[in-house]
Amino acid sequence: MMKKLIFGAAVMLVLFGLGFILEADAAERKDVLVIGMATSDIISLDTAKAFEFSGVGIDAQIYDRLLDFPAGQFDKPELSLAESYEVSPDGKTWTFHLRQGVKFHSGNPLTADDVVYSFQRVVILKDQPSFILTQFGITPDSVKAVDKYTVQVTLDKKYAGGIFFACLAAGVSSIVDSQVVKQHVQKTDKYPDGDMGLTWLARNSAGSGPFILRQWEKGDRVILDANPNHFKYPPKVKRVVIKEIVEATSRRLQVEKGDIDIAWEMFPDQIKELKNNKDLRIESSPATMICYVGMNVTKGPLKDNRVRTAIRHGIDYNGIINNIMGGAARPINTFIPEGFAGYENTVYYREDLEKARQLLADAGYADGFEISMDHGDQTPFPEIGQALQNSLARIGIKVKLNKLISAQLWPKYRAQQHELILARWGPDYVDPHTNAQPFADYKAKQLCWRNAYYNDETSQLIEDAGQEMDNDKRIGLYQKANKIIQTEGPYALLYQPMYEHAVRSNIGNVYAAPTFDLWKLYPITKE
Amino acid sequence: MNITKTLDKGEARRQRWRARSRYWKDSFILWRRNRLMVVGTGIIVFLLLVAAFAPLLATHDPYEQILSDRLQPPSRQHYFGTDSLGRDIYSRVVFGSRVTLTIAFLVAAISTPLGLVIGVLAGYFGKALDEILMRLSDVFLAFPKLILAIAFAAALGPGVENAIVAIAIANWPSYARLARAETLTVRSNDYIQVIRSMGASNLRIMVGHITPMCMSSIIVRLSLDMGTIILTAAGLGFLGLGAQPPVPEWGLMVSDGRQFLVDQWWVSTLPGIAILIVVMGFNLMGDGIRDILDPHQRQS
Amino acid sequence: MARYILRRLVTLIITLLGIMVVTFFISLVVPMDPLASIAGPQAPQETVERLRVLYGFDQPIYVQFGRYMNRLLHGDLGTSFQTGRPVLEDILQYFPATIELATLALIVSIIVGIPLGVLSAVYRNSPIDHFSRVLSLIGVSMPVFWLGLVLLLIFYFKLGWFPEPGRLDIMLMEPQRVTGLLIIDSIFAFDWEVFWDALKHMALPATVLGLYGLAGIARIVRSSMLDVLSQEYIKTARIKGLNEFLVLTRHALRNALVPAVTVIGLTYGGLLEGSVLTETIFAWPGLGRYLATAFLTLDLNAVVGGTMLVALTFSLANLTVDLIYALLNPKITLAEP
Repeated sequence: MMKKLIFGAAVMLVLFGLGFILEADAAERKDVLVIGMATSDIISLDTAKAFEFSGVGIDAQIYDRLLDFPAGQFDKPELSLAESYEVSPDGKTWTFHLRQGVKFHSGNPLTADDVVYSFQRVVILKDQPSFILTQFGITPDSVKAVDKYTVQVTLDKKYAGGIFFACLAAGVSSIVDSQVVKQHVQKTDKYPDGDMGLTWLARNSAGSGPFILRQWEKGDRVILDANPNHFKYPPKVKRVVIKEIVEATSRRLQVEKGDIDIAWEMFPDQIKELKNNKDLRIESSPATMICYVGMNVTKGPLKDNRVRTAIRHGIDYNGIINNIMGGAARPINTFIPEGFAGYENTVYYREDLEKARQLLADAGYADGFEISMDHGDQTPFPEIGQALQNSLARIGIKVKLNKLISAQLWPKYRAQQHELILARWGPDYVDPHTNAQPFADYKAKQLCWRNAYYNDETSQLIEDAGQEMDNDKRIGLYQKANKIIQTEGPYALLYQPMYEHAVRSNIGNVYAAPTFDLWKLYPITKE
Repeated sequence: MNITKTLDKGEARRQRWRARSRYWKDSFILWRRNRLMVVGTGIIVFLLLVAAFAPLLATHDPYEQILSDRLQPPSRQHYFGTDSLGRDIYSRVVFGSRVTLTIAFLVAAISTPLGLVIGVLAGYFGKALDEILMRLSDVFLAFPKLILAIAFAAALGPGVENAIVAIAIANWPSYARLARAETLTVRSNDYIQVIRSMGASNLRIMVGHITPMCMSSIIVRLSLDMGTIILTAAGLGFLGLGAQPPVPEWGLMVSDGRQFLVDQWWVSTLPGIAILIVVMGFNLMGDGIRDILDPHQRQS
Repeated sequence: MARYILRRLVTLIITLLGIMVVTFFISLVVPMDPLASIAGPQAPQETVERLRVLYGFDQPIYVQFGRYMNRLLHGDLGTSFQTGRPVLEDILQYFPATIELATLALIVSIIVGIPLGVLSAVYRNSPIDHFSRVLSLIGVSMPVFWLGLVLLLIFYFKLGWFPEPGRLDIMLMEPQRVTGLLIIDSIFAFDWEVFWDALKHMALPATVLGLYGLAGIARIVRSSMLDVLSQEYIKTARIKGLNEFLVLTRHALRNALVPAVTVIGLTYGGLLEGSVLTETIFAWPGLGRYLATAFLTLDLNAVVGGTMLVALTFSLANLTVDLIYALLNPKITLAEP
């Protein structure tokens, strides 16, 4: 019997060795772009529902909108599906003339009905990103098809054009193929009258964009096929595979070996080593995100602005930026990130231990105090948390760290139960209003409200800005609010990170963007 | 059954003492013969010494961050290099021995008596109590231990204390089962009947007579389990459910070093080796204890 | 015998029910919001409130509990918050991957473990014995997550012998799904490329997992070989002048393997444990990784579904092993639970 076993093992070994010779066809790989990313946050690819960074990013490749950001352009959108527009004298009614001859992936032509249906779905389904449209008072009845290629949208007030357009260029405003979607409406227990395609669109696409969704395997990969009939931007590669690689080390290993072409979001320590690799280059762009410490102004010592300012002066910003972020970040003292109009680099606070201790003493906390800080479990938050713990210990504040998973962190924050919190904010659309409102207007019930900082003055400034048609005046209002927030508010802004990606040298036209949904894949070439 | 001679107390005590010392002498001989067991014991003793003298052996403060010194390779100043926050890894490994030992012993201290008590009670009183307790332990045993520990740690929240409780909860059923089996065997022994008829209370019987009989198999089981307990604790630390930063727990350190594995291999690798050595030590020792206490071996 | 099986099955059912109830109550105690996976940090407050009502989380506890149990007892395991898909679908998708990995790992354990055990027994107390005992112990003493990372580093990155973490090359599509086991399905589809690729991808994780189960098998083979080798009939065979190799294999090993069978069964169950960490490292789309993520994100529907499946598998494996053992060794009474 033993002999048989050995023979069998030998046969297996020989066959196994043969397997090494049969490699996957190298020629096929030439037309396929492989990107390694951590995409596990995708819950749905339905544009009326998708609100996670990766989901919105993939949707940006599959769908077109009335206005859009072409590759490499990140500040102002250009006209896309809309050829031209007018606005009524009272500023409330916008009329868009659609480009003619545009076809969806299914072959159906784009008409005004599709635009109306797309917007109506968003408003009716009222899911996460719907506020981006409903904040303008859009209702299912206020979107109308005037004729086959003309759409009219009526808002409840006049709004600053920049904000409105930025929202029309956001993922939630994507135009879906209404005929296809209507064929896939289901009745579910949450939507007994029909879900307007919510269930089906979660994993399928009905768009007109440069790419067609071929497959989405949750936690594994997303496959996009090129749409050669796109009206403006047919892709250069035939297919894009977005491979789910959660571990940054793994992404690094695979891009070095050439198993993937682009490694999205690498960390500073790996970038350092990758710089020596001749087959790769590093592309970077400032991410329009802000990493900050939120202070709940109802909790103990934090009530006193002197304490909050002391904390702002007690943090070792350079240490965090240079050492933990490896230099791939910039200090920031405004809630408008670099890349958006209105960014200023005025310094309101830097590390100054003397001043910090003085302020604490003035406030009556010469001996320091104990306080807790909540943070998430994804890199680099635990490390930053520890660095902050260290920093504040120098001025006598003993920080107890609570590492929480998302499912615990955000609810606690929303319930205003935290003391200090380490968090990050990214823009929902490309306009400074998307940051100004959460950071300064408590009535929007976002960050300002979560930290219980009820300041009517800044709130009013932001509301006024939302209606201000003169762009320069609008920016001025944001900056005025910023000054107050930075000196008296509930935040210590830590840094604005840089996104750094590793790209193999035979890949061109990458145009790395501040966020995934601004990163258009169609121009990328592969030799 | 022999006719019991009436011994005076002193003589009886001397005889017991002689039997016990012979037991220990034989054990020692067996221990020495088994070289691997000696190695294992040596490792554990070494671990205890390191934990005890940690402040003397460490070269730096394990919590001190020097951000500009981060990710330095092993050198004369930092024997094991530094981690991503500039902390000296050697000192953290040394102090980590305390964390590891604390977890291991606390888990043992909680789960063993718990299992013992439940098992003895179940075996002794039988019937309904037995059914209930054994069903309960069966429910626990329906899961692989690691998964059970993860589940409880996830529910209780991260932290060393919660991890200890979680692992202990996952462990007690095996001891309960063992204790129950031994109790069943011993319970029917004649001399138990004799003692009971002499008026000994249930409690006295359970504590004084039955429990000692269970001890040897429990000790064997425990020593074999120690390695697994430490690995489970490291696994929880790795997943982020066990010790929290900045505690220098070895599993947590391996996890922290994951993203630097390729170029700064020392951050993950060295604490991993520490885990390996300690668990090996416990396993070798456990194997050896099992060999010693195994009656088959003793006869040879 | 029948009573015994019945009792074990009853325990299993109680266990499964217990999981459902306990998980529900944990979800109340643990300070987390199940909504948080649906509505992230950027969502405005009104949306969160609205979704809360839509999903029924604003109802009183007993209403929620009633709905929950009702749903579960009808076989609807709910939707996983991570994947947005029904948990049942998720499990059917991921379970075969774990089975495949565990089976290959078991084969590795057996192929390496049995010879090690035999060597240990034959050359007892010699350096060979010590060496093989240490070797098998290493597998059990090493943190599985660490070993996985190190092997990846050496064999994938530095040497390039094995492919990247994952189940299949990015260019290849899975063959038509018959069993969900890539090896089997690709044979059915005559897709040899997929066959070899899948095998290559399985090599490293199966080795890591296999080392885990190695020690138990080696140890049992060693001790039962020792028992067998001291028996009379072995001495007889030797005196008869039989080739030593034949003595060892045809006579001794065959009998020594009997108790090993039970350990093999238990090892299979133990591999489920190991798969949790191994799959995480190797990005293996199996039940272990699914369950680990479910625990870490407190995705309760997935936790319930996944844990029940694990308990079921584990219990059935143990039950089978116990029955086989009892069959082979009728002296063991089945009175003990």
